[in-house]
Amino acid sequence: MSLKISNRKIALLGILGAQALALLFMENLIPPLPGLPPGAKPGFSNIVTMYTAATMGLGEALYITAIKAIFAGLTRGATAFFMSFSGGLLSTFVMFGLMRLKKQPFGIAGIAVAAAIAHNLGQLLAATAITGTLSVLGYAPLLLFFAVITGLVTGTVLKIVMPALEKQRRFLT
Amino acid sequence: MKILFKKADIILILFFCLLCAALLTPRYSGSGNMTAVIYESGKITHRIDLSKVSESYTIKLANAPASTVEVEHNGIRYLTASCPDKLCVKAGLLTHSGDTAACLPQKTVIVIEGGSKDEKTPDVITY
Repeated sequence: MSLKISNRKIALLGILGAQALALLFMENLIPPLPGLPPGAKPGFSNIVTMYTAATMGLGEALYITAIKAIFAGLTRGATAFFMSFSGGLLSTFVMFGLMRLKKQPFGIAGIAVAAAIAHNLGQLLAATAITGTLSVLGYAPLLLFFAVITGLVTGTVLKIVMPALEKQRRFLT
Repeated sequence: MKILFKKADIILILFFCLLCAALLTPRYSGSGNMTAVIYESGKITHRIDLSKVSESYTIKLANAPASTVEVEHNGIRYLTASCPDKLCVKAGLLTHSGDTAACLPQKTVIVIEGGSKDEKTPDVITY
Protein backbone atom coordinates (compact mmCIF):
# COMPACT_ATOMS: atom_id res chain seq x y z
CA MET A 1 0.00 0.00 0.00
CA SER A 2 1.53 3.24 -1.02
CA LEU A 3 0.78 6.48 0.77
CA LYS A 4 0.06 9.09 -1.81
CA ILE A 5 1.27 12.00 0.26
CA SER A 6 3.59 14.12 -1.75
CA ASN A 7 6.97 14.98 -0.34
CA ARG A 8 6.10 18.62 -0.74
CA LYS A 9 3.06 18.24 1.47
CA ILE A 10 5.15 16.52 4.11
CA ALA A 11 7.60 19.39 3.98
CA LEU A 12 4.85 21.99 4.27
CA LEU A 13 3.23 20.21 7.19
CA GLY A 14 6.62 19.96 8.84
CA ILE A 15 7.14 23.68 8.53
CA LEU A 16 3.64 24.48 9.78
CA GLY A 17 4.13 22.12 12.70
CA ALA A 18 7.41 23.81 13.58
CA GLN A 19 5.70 27.19 13.43
CA ALA A 20 2.98 25.98 15.78
CA LEU A 21 5.60 24.72 18.21
CA ALA A 22 7.56 27.97 18.03
CA LEU A 23 4.38 29.90 18.89
CA LEU A 24 3.70 27.49 21.77
CA PHE A 25 7.18 28.00 23.16
CA MET A 26 6.91 31.77 22.87
CA GLU A 27 3.55 31.75 24.65
CA ASN A 28 4.95 29.91 27.63
CA LEU A 29 7.38 32.75 28.19
CA ILE A 30 4.51 35.12 28.99
CA PRO A 31 3.99 35.33 32.78
CA PRO A 32 0.59 34.25 34.13
CA LEU A 33 -2.03 36.99 34.22
CA PRO A 34 -3.56 37.77 37.63
CA GLY A 35 -7.21 36.80 37.96
CA LEU A 36 -6.86 33.92 35.51
CA PRO A 37 -5.68 30.37 36.23
CA PRO A 38 -1.94 30.25 35.64
CA GLY A 39 -2.13 27.88 32.68
CA ALA A 40 -4.27 30.17 30.52
CA LYS A 41 -2.45 31.26 27.39
CA PRO A 42 -3.31 33.39 24.33
CA GLY A 43 -3.41 30.38 22.01
CA PHE A 44 -1.36 31.78 19.13
CA SER A 45 -0.62 28.31 17.78
CA ASN A 46 -4.27 28.14 16.83
CA ILE A 47 -3.37 30.45 13.97
CA VAL A 48 -1.47 27.61 12.36
CA THR A 49 -4.20 25.06 13.07
CA MET A 50 -6.87 27.30 11.58
CA TYR A 51 -4.81 27.98 8.49
CA THR A 52 -4.13 24.27 8.01
CA ALA A 53 -7.77 23.36 8.52
CA ALA A 54 -8.90 25.95 6.00
CA THR A 55 -6.39 25.32 3.26
CA MET A 56 -5.47 21.67 3.65
CA GLY A 57 -8.19 19.77 5.47
CA LEU A 58 -9.16 18.05 8.69
CA GLY A 59 -6.53 15.32 8.72
CA GLU A 60 -3.72 17.81 8.23
CA ALA A 61 -5.10 20.08 10.97
CA LEU A 62 -5.33 17.10 13.31
CA TYR A 63 -1.72 16.37 12.53
CA ILE A 64 -0.76 19.83 13.77
CA THR A 65 -2.90 19.27 16.87
CA ALA A 66 -1.17 15.96 17.52
CA ILE A 67 2.28 17.51 17.12
CA LYS A 68 1.42 20.18 19.69
CA ALA A 69 0.11 17.59 22.12
CA ILE A 70 3.11 15.29 21.69
CA PHE A 71 5.46 18.22 22.21
CA ALA A 72 3.63 19.13 25.41
CA GLY A 73 3.80 15.51 26.50
CA LEU A 74 7.50 15.18 25.83
CA THR A 75 8.46 18.42 27.56
CA ARG A 76 5.93 18.66 30.37
CA GLY A 77 4.60 15.18 31.04
CA ALA A 78 1.57 13.00 30.43
CA THR A 79 -0.94 15.36 32.01
CA ALA A 80 0.15 18.13 29.67
CA PHE A 81 -0.31 15.80 26.69
CA PHE A 82 -3.82 14.91 27.77
CA MET A 83 -4.80 18.53 28.38
CA SER A 84 -3.35 19.75 25.10
CA PHE A 85 -4.95 16.94 23.12
CA SER A 86 -8.41 17.34 24.69
CA GLY A 87 -8.48 21.04 24.03
CA GLY A 88 -6.92 20.73 20.60
CA LEU A 89 -9.17 17.91 19.43
CA LEU A 90 -12.41 19.66 20.31
CA SER A 91 -11.10 22.94 18.96
CA THR A 92 -10.00 21.46 15.62
CA PHE A 93 -13.28 19.64 15.06
CA VAL A 94 -15.32 22.73 15.89
CA MET A 95 -13.15 24.90 13.67
CA PHE A 96 -13.34 22.49 10.75
CA GLY A 97 -17.07 21.98 11.22
CA LEU A 98 -17.75 25.70 11.13
CA MET A 99 -15.58 26.16 8.07
CA ARG A 100 -17.45 23.48 6.15
CA LEU A 101 -20.93 24.85 6.77
CA LYS A 102 -22.77 25.55 3.57
CA LYS A 103 -22.98 29.27 2.82
CA GLN A 104 -20.08 29.88 5.24
CA PRO A 105 -21.89 32.12 7.72
CA PHE A 106 -18.81 32.71 9.86
CA GLY A 107 -15.77 34.78 9.09
CA ILE A 108 -12.29 34.25 10.50
CA ALA A 109 -13.01 36.09 13.76
CA GLY A 110 -16.04 33.96 14.62
CA ILE A 111 -14.25 30.71 13.85
CA ALA A 112 -11.23 31.77 15.90
CA VAL A 113 -13.44 32.66 18.87
CA ALA A 114 -15.36 29.40 18.58
CA ALA A 115 -12.09 27.47 18.35
CA ALA A 116 -10.70 29.23 21.43
CA ILE A 117 -13.86 28.54 23.42
CA ALA A 118 -13.90 24.92 22.31
CA HIS A 119 -10.25 24.59 23.31
CA ASN A 120 -10.96 25.91 26.80
CA LEU A 121 -14.07 23.76 27.17
CA GLY A 122 -12.14 20.65 26.13
CA GLN A 123 -9.46 21.40 28.70
CA LEU A 124 -11.99 22.17 31.45
CA LEU A 125 -13.67 18.83 30.78
CA ALA A 126 -10.30 17.09 30.90
CA ALA A 127 -9.39 18.85 34.16
CA THR A 128 -12.71 17.82 35.69
CA ALA A 129 -12.12 14.23 34.62
CA ILE A 130 -8.58 14.20 36.00
CA THR A 131 -9.32 15.79 39.36
CA GLY A 132 -12.65 14.05 39.84
CA THR A 133 -14.34 17.21 41.08
CA LEU A 134 -16.33 20.03 39.54
CA SER A 135 -14.57 22.69 41.59
CA VAL A 136 -12.07 23.37 38.79
CA LEU A 137 -14.97 24.85 36.85
CA GLY A 138 -14.89 27.90 39.09
CA TYR A 139 -12.74 29.77 36.59
CA ALA A 140 -14.89 28.75 33.64
CA PRO A 141 -16.85 31.99 33.03
CA LEU A 142 -13.73 34.16 33.25
CA LEU A 143 -11.75 31.77 31.04
CA LEU A 144 -14.48 31.68 28.44
CA PHE A 145 -14.65 35.43 28.38
CA PHE A 146 -10.93 35.65 27.76
CA ALA A 147 -11.33 32.98 25.09
CA VAL A 148 -13.50 35.47 23.21
CA ILE A 149 -10.75 38.08 23.43
CA THR A 150 -7.91 35.74 22.51
CA GLY A 151 -10.01 34.36 19.68
CA LEU A 152 -10.42 37.86 18.29
CA VAL A 153 -6.68 38.46 18.53
CA THR A 154 -5.69 35.20 16.83
CA GLY A 155 -8.33 35.69 14.15
CA THR A 156 -7.04 39.16 13.39
CA VAL A 157 -3.43 38.00 13.31
CA LEU A 158 -4.36 35.19 10.93
CA LYS A 159 -6.02 37.65 8.58
CA ILE A 160 -2.90 39.79 8.65
CA VAL A 161 -0.37 37.00 8.07
CA MET A 162 -2.51 35.10 5.58
CA PRO A 163 -0.64 36.43 2.52
CA ALA A 164 2.67 35.29 4.00
CA LEU A 165 1.29 31.85 4.81
CA GLU A 166 -0.16 31.51 1.33
CA LYS A 167 3.18 32.45 -0.18
CA GLN A 168 4.81 29.77 1.96
CA ARG A 169 2.32 27.22 0.73
CA ARG A 170 2.63 28.15 -2.92
CA PHE A 171 6.35 27.88 -2.65
CA LEU A 172 6.10 24.29 -1.46
CA THR A 173 3.18 22.82 -3.41
CA MET B 1 -11.98 32.29 4.61
CA LYS B 2 -11.06 35.69 3.40
CA ILE B 3 -13.33 37.89 5.48
CA LEU B 4 -12.59 38.70 9.11
CA PHE B 5 -16.03 39.74 10.37
CA LYS B 6 -19.40 38.65 9.13
CA LYS B 7 -22.75 39.24 10.77
CA ALA B 8 -22.85 35.81 12.39
CA ASP B 9 -19.49 36.45 14.06
CA ILE B 10 -20.79 39.50 15.90
CA ILE B 11 -23.81 37.55 17.11
CA LEU B 12 -21.60 34.69 18.31
CA ILE B 13 -19.25 37.00 20.17
CA LEU B 14 -22.06 38.95 21.82
CA PHE B 15 -23.76 35.72 22.82
CA PHE B 16 -20.69 34.39 24.58
CA CYS B 17 -19.95 37.69 26.31
CA LEU B 18 -23.49 37.81 27.68
CA LEU B 19 -23.29 34.14 28.70
CA CYS B 20 -20.09 34.76 30.64
CA ALA B 21 -21.50 37.86 32.29
CA ALA B 22 -24.55 35.89 33.38
CA LEU B 23 -22.43 33.05 34.73
CA LEU B 24 -20.11 35.39 36.59
CA THR B 25 -22.61 37.34 38.65
CA PRO B 26 -24.24 34.98 41.16
CA ARG B 27 -20.96 33.42 42.24
CA TYR B 28 -19.76 35.26 45.29
CA SER B 29 -22.54 34.63 47.79
CA GLY B 30 -20.93 32.50 50.45
CA SER B 31 -22.30 31.58 53.82
CA GLY B 32 -20.48 30.84 56.99
CA ASN B 33 -16.81 31.24 57.56
CA MET B 34 -14.18 31.18 54.87
CA THR B 35 -13.36 27.50 54.48
CA ALA B 36 -10.64 25.98 52.37
CA VAL B 37 -11.55 22.62 50.88
CA ILE B 38 -8.83 20.32 49.58
CA TYR B 39 -9.76 17.61 47.10
CA GLU B 40 -7.43 14.70 46.42
CA SER B 41 -8.40 12.38 43.56
CA GLY B 42 -11.95 13.63 43.77
CA LYS B 43 -12.45 13.17 47.50
CA ILE B 44 -12.43 15.92 50.08
CA THR B 45 -9.52 15.27 52.40
CA HIS B 46 -9.32 18.54 54.33
CA ARG B 47 -11.80 21.19 55.35
CA ILE B 48 -10.11 24.07 57.09
CA ASP B 49 -11.79 27.11 58.58
CA LEU B 50 -9.27 29.73 57.58
CA SER B 51 -10.63 32.38 59.89
CA LYS B 52 -9.77 30.23 62.89
CA VAL B 53 -6.15 29.66 61.90
CA SER B 54 -3.83 31.56 64.21
CA GLU B 55 -0.41 30.25 63.22
CA SER B 56 0.58 29.11 59.72
CA TYR B 57 1.30 25.46 59.21
CA THR B 58 1.99 23.15 56.29
CA ILE B 59 0.26 20.03 55.08
CA LYS B 60 1.74 17.41 52.81
CA LEU B 61 -0.60 16.06 50.16
CA ALA B 62 -0.47 12.31 49.66
CA ASN B 63 -0.49 11.73 45.90
CA ALA B 64 2.57 11.75 43.72
CA PRO B 65 4.00 14.13 42.45
CA ALA B 66 4.22 15.43 46.01
CA SER B 67 3.24 18.92 47.04
CA THR B 68 3.00 20.86 50.27
CA VAL B 69 0.25 23.28 51.16
CA GLU B 70 0.69 26.20 53.51
CA VAL B 71 -2.30 27.23 55.59
CA GLU B 72 -2.37 30.63 57.20
CA HIS B 73 -4.98 32.99 58.64
CA ASN B 74 -7.51 33.67 55.87
CA GLY B 75 -5.19 32.27 53.22
CA ILE B 76 -4.00 29.03 51.73
CA ARG B 77 -1.55 28.22 48.97
CA TYR B 78 0.49 25.49 47.37
CA LEU B 79 3.95 26.04 48.79
CA THR B 80 6.00 23.51 46.85
CA ALA B 81 5.22 20.98 44.14
CA SER B 82 7.16 18.39 42.17
CA CYS B 83 4.98 18.48 39.09
CA PRO B 84 6.65 19.73 35.88
CA ASP B 85 4.61 22.91 35.37
CA LYS B 86 4.08 24.10 38.96
CA LEU B 87 0.94 25.96 37.92
CA CYS B 88 -0.46 25.16 41.35
CA VAL B 89 2.29 27.12 43.07
CA LYS B 90 2.03 29.91 40.50
CA ALA B 91 -1.63 30.38 41.40
CA GLY B 92 -0.39 32.12 44.52
CA LEU B 93 -2.20 32.80 47.75
CA LEU B 94 -5.92 32.06 47.74
CA THR B 95 -7.76 34.57 49.88
CA HIS B 96 -11.29 35.03 48.53
CA SER B 97 -14.36 32.87 48.24
CA GLY B 98 -14.18 31.02 44.93
CA ASP B 99 -10.39 31.26 44.54
CA THR B 100 -9.08 27.99 43.17
CA ALA B 101 -5.72 26.34 42.65
CA ALA B 102 -5.16 22.88 41.22
CA CYS B 103 -2.32 20.47 40.51
CA LEU B 104 -3.53 18.25 37.70
CA PRO B 105 -0.70 15.69 37.69
CA GLN B 106 -1.33 15.22 41.38
CA LYS B 107 -5.13 15.35 40.95
CA THR B 108 -5.55 17.83 43.78
CA VAL B 109 -7.63 20.99 43.98
CA ILE B 110 -7.91 23.68 46.63
CA VAL B 111 -11.06 25.82 46.64
CA ILE B 112 -12.21 28.44 49.08
CA GLU B 113 -15.87 28.11 49.89
CA GLY B 114 -18.05 30.19 52.13
CA GLY B 115 -16.96 33.50 53.47
CA SER B 116 -19.12 36.53 52.87
CA LYS B 117 -18.56 38.62 49.81
CA ASP B 118 -17.49 41.98 51.04
CA GLU B 119 -19.27 44.59 48.97
CA LYS B 120 -16.15 46.73 48.89
CA THR B 121 -13.69 44.18 47.51
CA PRO B 122 -13.42 44.17 43.71
CA ASP B 123 -14.39 41.10 41.71
CA VAL B 124 -11.30 41.01 39.54
CA ILE B 125 -8.14 43.04 39.79
CA THR B 126 -5.89 43.54 36.81
CA TYR B 127 -2.57 45.29 36.88
